[in-house]
Amino acid sequence: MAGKIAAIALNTFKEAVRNRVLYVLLFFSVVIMLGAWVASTLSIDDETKIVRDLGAGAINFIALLIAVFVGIGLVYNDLDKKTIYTIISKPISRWHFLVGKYLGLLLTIAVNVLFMTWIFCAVLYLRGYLAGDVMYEALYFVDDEGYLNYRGVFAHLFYLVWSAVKALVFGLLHVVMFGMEGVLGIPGAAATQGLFMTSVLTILEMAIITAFAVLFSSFSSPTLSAFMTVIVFIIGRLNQELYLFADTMVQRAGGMEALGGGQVVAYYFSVVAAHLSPNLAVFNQRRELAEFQDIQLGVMDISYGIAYTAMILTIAAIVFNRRNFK
Amino acid sequence: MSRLLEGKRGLRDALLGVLVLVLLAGAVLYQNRRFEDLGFRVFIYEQRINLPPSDVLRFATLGYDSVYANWLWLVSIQAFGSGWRTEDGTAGPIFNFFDTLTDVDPQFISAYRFGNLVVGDQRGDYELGRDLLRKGTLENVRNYDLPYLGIYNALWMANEEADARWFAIMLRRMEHAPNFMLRLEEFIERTAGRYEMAFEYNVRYWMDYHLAGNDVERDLIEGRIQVLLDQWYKQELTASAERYLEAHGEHPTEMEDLLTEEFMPAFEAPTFQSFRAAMDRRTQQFAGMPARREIPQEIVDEVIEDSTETIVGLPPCPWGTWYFIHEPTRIAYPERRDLFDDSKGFPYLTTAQGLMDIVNRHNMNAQEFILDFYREHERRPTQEEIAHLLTRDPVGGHYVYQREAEESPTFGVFYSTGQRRLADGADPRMGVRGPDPHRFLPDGLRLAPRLSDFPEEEQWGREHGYILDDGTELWEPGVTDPDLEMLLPPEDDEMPQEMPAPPPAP
Amino acid sequence: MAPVIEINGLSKVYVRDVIGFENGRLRVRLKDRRTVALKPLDLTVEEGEIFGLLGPNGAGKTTAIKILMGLHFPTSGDARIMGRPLEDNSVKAKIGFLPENPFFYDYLKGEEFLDYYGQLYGMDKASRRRRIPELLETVGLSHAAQLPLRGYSKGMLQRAGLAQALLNDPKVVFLDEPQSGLDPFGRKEVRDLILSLREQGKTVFFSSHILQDAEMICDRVAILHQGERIAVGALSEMLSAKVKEYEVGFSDVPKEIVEKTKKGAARFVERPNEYLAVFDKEDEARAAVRAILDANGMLESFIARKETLEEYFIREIEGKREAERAALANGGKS
Repeated sequence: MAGKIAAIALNTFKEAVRNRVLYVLLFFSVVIMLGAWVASTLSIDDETKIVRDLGAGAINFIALLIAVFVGIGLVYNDLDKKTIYTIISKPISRWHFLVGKYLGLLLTIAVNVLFMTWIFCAVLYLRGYLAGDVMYEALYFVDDEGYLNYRGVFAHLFYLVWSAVKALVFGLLHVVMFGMEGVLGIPGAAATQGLFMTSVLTILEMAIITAFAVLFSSFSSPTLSAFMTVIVFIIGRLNQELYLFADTMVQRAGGMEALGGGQVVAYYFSVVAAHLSPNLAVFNQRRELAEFQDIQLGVMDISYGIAYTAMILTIAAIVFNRRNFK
Repeated sequence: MSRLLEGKRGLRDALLGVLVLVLLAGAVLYQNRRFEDLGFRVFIYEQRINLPPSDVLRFATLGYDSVYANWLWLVSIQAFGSGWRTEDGTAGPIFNFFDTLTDVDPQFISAYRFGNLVVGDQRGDYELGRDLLRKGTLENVRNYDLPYLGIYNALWMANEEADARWFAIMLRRMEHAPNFMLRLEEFIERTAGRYEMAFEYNVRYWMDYHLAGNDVERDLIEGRIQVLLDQWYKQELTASAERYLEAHGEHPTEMEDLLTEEFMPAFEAPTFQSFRAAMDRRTQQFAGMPARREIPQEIVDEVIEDSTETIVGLPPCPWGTWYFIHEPTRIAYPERRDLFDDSKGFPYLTTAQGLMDIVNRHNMNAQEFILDFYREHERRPTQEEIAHLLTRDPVGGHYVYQREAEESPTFGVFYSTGQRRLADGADPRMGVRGPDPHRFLPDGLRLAPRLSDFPEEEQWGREHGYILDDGTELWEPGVTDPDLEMLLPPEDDEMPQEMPAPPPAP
Repeated sequence: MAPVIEINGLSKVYVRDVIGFENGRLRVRLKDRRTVALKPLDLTVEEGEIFGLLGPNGAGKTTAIKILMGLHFPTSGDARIMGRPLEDNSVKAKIGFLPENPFFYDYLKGEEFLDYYGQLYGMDKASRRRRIPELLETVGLSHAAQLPLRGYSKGMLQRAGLAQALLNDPKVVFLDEPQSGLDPFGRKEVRDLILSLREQGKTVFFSSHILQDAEMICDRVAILHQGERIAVGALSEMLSAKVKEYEVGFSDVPKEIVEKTKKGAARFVERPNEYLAVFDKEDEARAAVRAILDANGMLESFIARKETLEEYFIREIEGKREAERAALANGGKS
């Protein structure tokens, strides 16, 4: 069973990897990270914070796009193109297929997030190196008489390429050492502190979003699924605010009795939605990252994420089990 | 046309490419003209600083709030760069901007700092600036920058000791704040003239460092206690001088004038000697105590009680010297008050320690002058060229420049004869490293050293016009424009120099 | 011997959603939501036979197969394959299925595709490595093993589909319209393949609307029309053995012979210098042939035609329609 689910997951991963959209998104993320670097030069203070902030935001957002836009087509495409006929008729259960698809997408997201983390770490390292004094010495390619100094140009280029290579290697170390590359005494490692943990949190957050995408995709059209997944994401991100909103409304009115009819509906809607929707704020600690604070990940938070995901997948399996494939 | 191009696809594509380029160039040029017509819009940020409520923004950012905060941050910097005008010219809208920004991302330290800089230091609304810092301090319990800036703002800019104290309390609660920041609390009390409080803090610090085995820091605290007690006594002396001034209409001429019950009542204050004695007595007691932060209040109270004495007459200067009235300053002060900083009492009330500081400063200035001169001319200055520095010193002698000297063959030696006499113990009156002087000297010999106390100095003084025919001593020949600046009391504390400059304006 | 496939009263009624998308438009539908796709169906298929499920488009063939494959759930009735219920994975492990107009992950290469499906069957690596090239050879796709399915033609896809259906060496093979989209050559290959499967002792259950093909290979057939089984049985029992008519094709004959033949024929097809006459009786046909030969004409063909499945089929369905019409007319009167 596990082997078959793994086969489906790996095939799903293959499907995503051979999808051009993914590369567009990855390219986009690299552009954002370099853009963050450029934007940080506009600041007068806390440049690293801005780069880290925008970069981590970009990773999260791109992961969301992958989860939504790859996730919604995941099951639907198989139904639409009838590839599912030959798969369900194989000796597997329907939920195997669903879980395999889900895990495949999650694997895709995880690999992509880690890839982006790598690139982002490299950007942070490179940024640190190019801000060093050596850079400015190498930058003198015009000599005292104002002629181009080719040695200077080459030194500059060499420095640039060498720094980039170093940055990429150290960035990779960050990912493969689970963010602990600082213990090796790598220069500039402080800039990447906590990044790995944030990426792990992003993957956990996307685990929930992906489950929703798979759920919606198993019974509705891609457009509608995308819409509903995004709605879930929004409510999930805001559910603390939503609850506070309802609470404040009652406080302002001075008790439940004072609420008008519409307000009562709004109150119950908010409270119920806030409780039912996944609490994604738990996984949103990018602000702590930007401030170089500790990223906290409690066992309860992880358990919550896993349990919620399992619940959504179970619903998806129930829906999927009852479906007739057209 | 089409027939011409038949079968020449490469040529056709090239022509189409050129067409695209031409069209693009046209579009770019047109855009450029439009942009030029836009002109420079000064008020472009006026709209931008009117942000929606932060609740709405938090909803709208969908968890990407810190990204949005960064955007606002960059906007704020651009707005600052372009002058950042507000409709009514007040700092209120700017404050609101930073308030909203920090609502969206309460951990944005730079925003608090920059907000305080713009609202407080640039617009002069220190109260609003402090509000931002207060919010930042409460939101970021681990950042000691903000309360520190808060103290800076409250104490140096706005003279609000109460606010400064609040920031100091917040600072004390932070775990990783540097030591000197923690001691700001004491500094605030001292600046505010609450010497009892400051003394209590220092006693606590002293014991902390002693228990921690940090002798260097403990000795620093000891020095601070000396400074503190000195300020305390000077305050008392100043009060008595004020009473004297009120009674007689003129400043006292000698310290003895003040030392009566009428002008100088007995007062309770710690003395350095009894403080050290109290501490020495407790060394045994301390030996058994664990090194920890909180010293029981009873022990502190006990130490304070043991240190405190009833001081009758002249207080004992913590450095072992004496308080006296410096005559040249006393003469100059009523005439040239603009030259003196008398915010902390009358400047003529001083000690040998204070005068020695002045001499040292003069010596250092002179050495610097000689070095600069050497750099410029590649030789040492002659006596004529350095003559403007060869004045009298405040301790009864004059400055001498030995162009060729064994001690320093390259640049010569610059020194003060009065200081040398004191250091060598040849003039024991002020007790600098010498035996304590008599409290009241016989034969009308005064504590304040004068040129006329020594024959060779008196001769020098008369030759150079420092002593007039009637025996009056001047600080500089010709009272008309005495450069009295070097008489100003020395910086009595290192703290203001430790304060960093506020963040630089972009 | 127990039947391989048992179908007992299997039926399917589709109920449309009240609100749904139809042709890209949101539509609310309150009436006519039920569509009967399959009326209660009983069938048994014995081991080792080639069973054809025949009928025009929309007859319910595909619905029946989908239910058998567990893709749809029956409204009533049940079916068993090899004595086990439909959703049993141990059953699925012993069957192969080729859907109509199959579509597979087009980003996979031919070999990868079969490897993936092999994993779904739970085959180990060694057996996959042995079986896949063998199958590709069988269906004639060896040359395209490293080509992504995106580049396959419709026929190649059909072959790839066949390959995946046979991957696990199944006991029963379900083929839904296996020959649609193939050229005549390909259709012959599929026919040969099905026959060779029977030789290997496998049971083949296939649906088709191309009756000639079915006629050539099926042991038994069932005919569906509008969801209803209208006939079932061995082909030999269904089709009468006697010759139904005689066809004579000729050319290069004088005009009067043509006229004469035309007069005697039951039907006559005339093209420029090419004629086809159909006779009901053997002696009439013989006479016509003789006349053509005597006139030095060219005898193109002389065929004694038995009843085809197609004709049987049309006859049955026509009869059905007549009955319906009559019933409707009666109902209208009363």
